[in-house]
Amino acid sequence: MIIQYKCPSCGADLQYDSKSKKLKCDSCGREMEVDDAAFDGTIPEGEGGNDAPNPDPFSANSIPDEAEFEEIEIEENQRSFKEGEGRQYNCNNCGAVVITTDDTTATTCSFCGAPVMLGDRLTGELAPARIIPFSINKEQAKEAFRKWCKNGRLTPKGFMTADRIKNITGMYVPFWLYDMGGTGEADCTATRVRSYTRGDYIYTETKYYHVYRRVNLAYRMVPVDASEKMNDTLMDLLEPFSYKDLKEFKMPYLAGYLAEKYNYNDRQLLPRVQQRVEGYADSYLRSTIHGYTTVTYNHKNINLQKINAYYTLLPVWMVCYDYRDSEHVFAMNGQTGKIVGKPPLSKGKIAAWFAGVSAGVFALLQVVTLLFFR
Amino acid sequence: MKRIYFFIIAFFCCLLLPLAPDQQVFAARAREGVYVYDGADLFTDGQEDELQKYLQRMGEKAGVGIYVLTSDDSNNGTSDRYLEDFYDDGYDRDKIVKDAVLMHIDMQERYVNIQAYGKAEGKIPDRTADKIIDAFYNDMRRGDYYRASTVFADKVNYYMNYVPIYLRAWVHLLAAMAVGAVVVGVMVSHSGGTVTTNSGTYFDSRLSGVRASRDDYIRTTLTKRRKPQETSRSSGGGGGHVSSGGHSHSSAGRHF
Ligand SMILES: [Zn+2]
Ligand SMILES: [Zn+2]
Repeated sequence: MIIQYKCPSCGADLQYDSKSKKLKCDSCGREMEVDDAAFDGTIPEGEGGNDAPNPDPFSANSIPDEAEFEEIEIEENQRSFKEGEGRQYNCNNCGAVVITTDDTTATTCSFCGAPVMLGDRLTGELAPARIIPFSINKEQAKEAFRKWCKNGRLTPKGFMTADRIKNITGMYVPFWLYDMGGTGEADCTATRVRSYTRGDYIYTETKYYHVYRRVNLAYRMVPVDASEKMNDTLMDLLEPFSYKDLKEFKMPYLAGYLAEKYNYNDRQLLPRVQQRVEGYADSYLRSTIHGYTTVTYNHKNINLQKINAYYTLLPVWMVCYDYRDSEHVFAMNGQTGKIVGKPPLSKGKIAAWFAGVSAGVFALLQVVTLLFFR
Repeated sequence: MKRIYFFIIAFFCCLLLPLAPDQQVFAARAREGVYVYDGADLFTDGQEDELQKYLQRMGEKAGVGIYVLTSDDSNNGTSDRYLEDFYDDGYDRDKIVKDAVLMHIDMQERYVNIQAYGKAEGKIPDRTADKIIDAFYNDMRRGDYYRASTVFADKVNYYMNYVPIYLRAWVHLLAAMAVGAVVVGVMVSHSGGTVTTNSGTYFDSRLSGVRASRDDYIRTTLTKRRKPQETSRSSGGGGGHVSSGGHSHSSAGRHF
């Protein structure tokens, strides 16, 4: 089931515009509220045989860029037979086969450029609950990335000036946002140490306390990336997202962007979020014990459970950048503009910074010595 | 790339910085002076010549004038006064090195006295002067005044050239390189983006909170240890003594 949004005036394809926060027609400039489009869109235009899902055993071969998807291909092949996914979608505009992987939920027709949403992968248990729409558009993203490259104090000179952005892709990455709740309990032995001098002796007085705390714990919407493809560390660094822009999910938000569905459900990712939140709870519990010199835990128990998990799409600009024959991948938070990813580092610049800082500190120490100790 | 070379050259220039050359100027001047004033005739003529040469050589190394004075009494004053007057007079007539360490042996009182002036005052404060006396005190009691005088010169040289470990150039170099490594390390580790969330980011303070809390006192233990000996290191302040000529100095003296 392919979904496309058409301009009521001229029939061209509508795209989500991050500036106006509406669907916009590039041809005639007409704008449309997301809510209105979502209502219309549920009845797909041009109902026809094309839209019926038909299993395609050759789907793996139809992926043109074999090099890029080599690894995924095998898995997909296996899974498509198992779960009967691997189906073919055709563009409503031109009838061309829309290139998708098993995870794709939104993309553009590679032939005519029309934004297409794969409705059947966005409904039922695959329906996202929430979304943060992009607030940074492609031009702003490119500009921010260029600026970031220039500010890199350790990146090679060529990297800063060259415009080698190979491609920049706006993508909604599937996340689970967990509400976690529970209790924490700590039983500690704490000391207060005080020293004083009387006569020829220094006295050290140690007072021992038995400390007990029980706390209620609540954490809201802790994100965990649910996509297999995405590097977990990279995605974690993209945080925080501001939840003031969190919207109820509607398909029109995806128009013009890539989107994928989750590979792991909320139960599978629970250990990851639990581990993370337990770290938070730990430091909170510790922060409730203060005024002591030392604190030793005799017993600690943190019990956190999932209250809710929301399937949420978060906006990420993926930037591929060619430098000296190797490709560097960066990710930009599509809402806040925060950029993460390992840039190439210049050995010369690292050496220069090391020599510069060392020489500066050395000179300072020598000057202080000459001025105050000679 | 040019910037890199600039940094590296600047770096090595800094290495040469502490070798300031005011030693030669001093040496030329010090060669002319008289350093032994043997009023009590404690040294043989040969010893006196040897000592004069020795004090001159040590003084050059130490960058100060090292003087040994002996007398049968202290001209009806104290030994302190005797040395102060000697310094004031020498200073006024430009006959002595201004940065000087003086030792006086008063044979009537059997008293040895040390005073340090100018830049020597900071390097040899009262406490250090006292330590110098410790070093040759036994020689002094045995009547070996020549040996005591050479030990005195050795010790002056040692303390004048003593550099505490935290002021040594190689220590500074290591410390500077450690700082450089840490700074660059932080820059490298931050180049890929940093964590900007913490334990408070997702914390819901309305639903979280302390539900039960107890802090029960159990017991107190008390340990005592002897106060360590006063080891206040030599301050740059000197001794707080001032001659009638207005020259401040440090000093230490002892009967033998
Ligand atoms: Zn239109
Ligand atoms: Zn098409």
